[in-house]
Amino acid sequence: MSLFTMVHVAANSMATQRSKSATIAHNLENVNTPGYSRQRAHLRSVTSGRQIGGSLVGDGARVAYVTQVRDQFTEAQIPKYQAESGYGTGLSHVLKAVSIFDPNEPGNVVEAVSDYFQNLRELAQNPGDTALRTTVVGAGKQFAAAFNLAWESLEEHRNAIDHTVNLEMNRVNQLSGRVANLNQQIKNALDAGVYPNDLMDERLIARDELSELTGATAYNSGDGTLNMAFPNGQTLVNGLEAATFETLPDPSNDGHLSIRYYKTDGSGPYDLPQGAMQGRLGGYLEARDGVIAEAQSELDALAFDIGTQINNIHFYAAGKDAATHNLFFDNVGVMVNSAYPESAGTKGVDITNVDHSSINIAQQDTLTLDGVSLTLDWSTLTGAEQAVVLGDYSVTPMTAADQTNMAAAVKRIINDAVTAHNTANPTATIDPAEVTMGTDGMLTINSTATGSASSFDITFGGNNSVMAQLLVNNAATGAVDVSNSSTDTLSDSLIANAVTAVTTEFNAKGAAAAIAMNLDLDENNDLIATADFANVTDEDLDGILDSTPNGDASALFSMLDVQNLDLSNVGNTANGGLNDMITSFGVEVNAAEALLYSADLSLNHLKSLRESISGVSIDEELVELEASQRAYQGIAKVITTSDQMMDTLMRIK
Amino acid sequence: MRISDKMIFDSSVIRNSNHRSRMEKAMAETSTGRRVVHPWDDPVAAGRIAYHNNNEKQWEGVINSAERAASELQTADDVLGNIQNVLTRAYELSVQLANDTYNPEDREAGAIELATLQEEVFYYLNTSVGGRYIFGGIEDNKPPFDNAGNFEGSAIQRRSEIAPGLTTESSINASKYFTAAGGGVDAYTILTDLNTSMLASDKAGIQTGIGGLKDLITQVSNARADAGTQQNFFDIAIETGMFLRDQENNRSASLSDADIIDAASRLQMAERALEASLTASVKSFRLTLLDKI
Repeated sequence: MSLFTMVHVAANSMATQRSKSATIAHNLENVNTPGYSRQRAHLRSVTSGRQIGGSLVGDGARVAYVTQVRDQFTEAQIPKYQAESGYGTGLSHVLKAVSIFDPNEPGNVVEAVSDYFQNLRELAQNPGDTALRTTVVGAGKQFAAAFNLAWESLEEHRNAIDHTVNLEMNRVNQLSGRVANLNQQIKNALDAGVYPNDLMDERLIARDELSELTGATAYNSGDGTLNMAFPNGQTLVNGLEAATFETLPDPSNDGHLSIRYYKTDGSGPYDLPQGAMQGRLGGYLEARDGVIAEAQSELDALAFDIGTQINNIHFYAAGKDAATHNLFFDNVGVMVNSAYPESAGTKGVDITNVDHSSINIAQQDTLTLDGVSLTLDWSTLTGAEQAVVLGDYSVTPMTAADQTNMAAAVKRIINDAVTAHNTANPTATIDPAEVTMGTDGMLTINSTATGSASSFDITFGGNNSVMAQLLVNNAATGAVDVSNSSTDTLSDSLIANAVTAVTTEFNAKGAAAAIAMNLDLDENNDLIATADFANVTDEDLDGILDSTPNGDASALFSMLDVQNLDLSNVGNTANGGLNDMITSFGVEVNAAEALLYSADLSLNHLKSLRESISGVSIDEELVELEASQRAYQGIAKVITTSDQMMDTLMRIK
Repeated sequence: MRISDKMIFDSSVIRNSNHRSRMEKAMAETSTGRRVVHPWDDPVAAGRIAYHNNNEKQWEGVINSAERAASELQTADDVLGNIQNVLTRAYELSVQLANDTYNPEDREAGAIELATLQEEVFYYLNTSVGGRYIFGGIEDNKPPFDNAGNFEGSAIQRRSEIAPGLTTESSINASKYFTAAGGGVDAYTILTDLNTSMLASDKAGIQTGIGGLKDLITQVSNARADAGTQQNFFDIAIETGMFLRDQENNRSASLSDADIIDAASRLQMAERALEASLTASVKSFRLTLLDKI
């Protein structure tokens, strides 16, 4: 080997040591870069074809390749725990933001329920006292407001989750697109025989974030690309293509966002099945549609049950001066109370100022008139008749013309049935009906022959049938006015059936949000019913019941019993229901916390292992750097020595 | 195990954060005195705290209600005592004036006093407390007796709670003890007839009236016994209610209150642990080849 060759080889080897130092420098520079895996420059000695003494002589060192230091066994386990940790984080993070179930939170539902009954109890000590009546109104308002606020607070959390899900789904689209894009770059590099270490780090970071967000699992394909899929098998990234996601309001879920996706081949959109999304987003969705929605349902059940039970008593009890038939709470139901069949008031109902648009004309009612059963086919209402019968009069009450047309439409349908009956039974005909609407807005059905039907009954075709709706004055409250007047044309049981036919439409959903104090009671607290209606007397003997013994607290005691009553939707007493609600919410949060703790334990351990293998140790890198520097110095010495040898040679004369 | 620099920093963050979290919890317990603030602090306890708080309030309400009823019954008993005194005076006056030593003028003068005593009796019977007539049953709108001694109140008695969902009568039925409706004598009739007999100097009539007065006084004694019995019910209810209310309070407190000594010692331990952890972190940060080479 010539001296020149020696210098040349030494120069190449110095470059190799410089490359190694550059790799070490890259490691040191990325000591704090998340997801960075330390790299190692692998050196190899270079062998030339030259022989000395029968042996091949080496030609210094070169960098064979620079690789990442990664443990695939550890890396393969991380996405699973990343997903579990994400799920637990999402769920517990959202649930822990809910404060309405804090047992000592002032003004919460627990306190409002307790205070409400407490105020009723105080009023029971002096039912005629105006000041106590005022406090009961206040407690009733507070009761309703506490439920409204609690429900709305939960709804706000659900809306905030929607907002978060919407943003995070954009992130999912970005990340899955990024993984597909990196797949492309990595594949190209590998095809060119280059190790794209930093690109692989970047893809791993995107993979981990996607797993944490969505619960997606990842698997390597043979060509260097990374595929990802949801736990239910739905593909998220397939080679160089990524699925895309969008969110849109779901009417079947109170307008909260649902997730749709376009497959990696571009087809779609398809609904993402419930439960497919895991990870942090899955935790958010479980909080929104599971735990929080369940808490709302429990609040609804409690508000509905207490409100309805109170209404059922209050509606049929007497306030001052025989005031009766007032709801205590609006927007929850009231059922006909068989214990008070003779409740006072005017039988029949005012239908002139309510919304009839929910009437279902497909339901056929059966009217028994003078002993003949007639089927009333409301589907034959003409367009003009439907406009009247199905009108919304809640804002603008019926005009006189509307009332005439309403009566005419009902009369036409009944008399069509009468005509059909008479045609089929010529020897047993009945007289047509007369239908009128009085100034009180009551619909009256009579026989034209006698002025009143000898027998009269209606079987309602089903919920929201025309007759059922026309016989209750407001589907929103289910209130009905029943009297014992001798001029009645509708029986109590008939009214009861009408109410039942409509009130079966009531359910607890949304009751906590909607429940409100009947403002009539606020304007005139004499309307607060405290007395048993049976104790109401006719003071001036005019036939009208008009005097309530104001010391009678019978109805209040019945209302107080509601506090300890087993409520049907709640499945417990009010107090027991509140206890269950708080406990189950706490248990849900704890379960999420436990899952998070357990997942984090495994995840932190795996991440620690990852760091142990792939992380940069400054100490280690400095030693490597020192070694590289020494080698560099050693090789430089070779050049110096070669130069001196050359110099010696040149001086030989 | 190989230790990278990031591991040193990460584990330091996790360790210190855990210690801080424990310290924060112990500090919150020590400063607020509460162990359960959120449902997840102890789900079962959180639910039970609300449950016991509700029960405590319920018992508090029952106690208030029973105390008020007992107080009204005490008033009724006092008033009945006054009526008894008045009737005793009427009795003494009648016995005195039934004697032959008194002449019609004396009896006429006695009739004037008797009329005043009669007015007093019905004045007492129309006593109202807090706007409610204590002998009117559930009728609060008008006095129980009109000027002619007719009972205008309600025979249905007021009721008050002695336990949640359990009520008992909390007023005296004046129609039973002061009218013939209860099977006894009618106070107004007895006193009016006696007065008429006095004015007419009708000794036989006065003697009959004395018998009626005796019965009436007995009826008042019975009414007082009734009031006493009812009051006794409420006294027991108050005592029981207080016991149960305190129990509910104790249960709630035992679930929600922090053990301050325990919390303070945990705070101390957490503080020490954090201090040690921070010291260890600083040491591990400093021990590097960077400072040696």
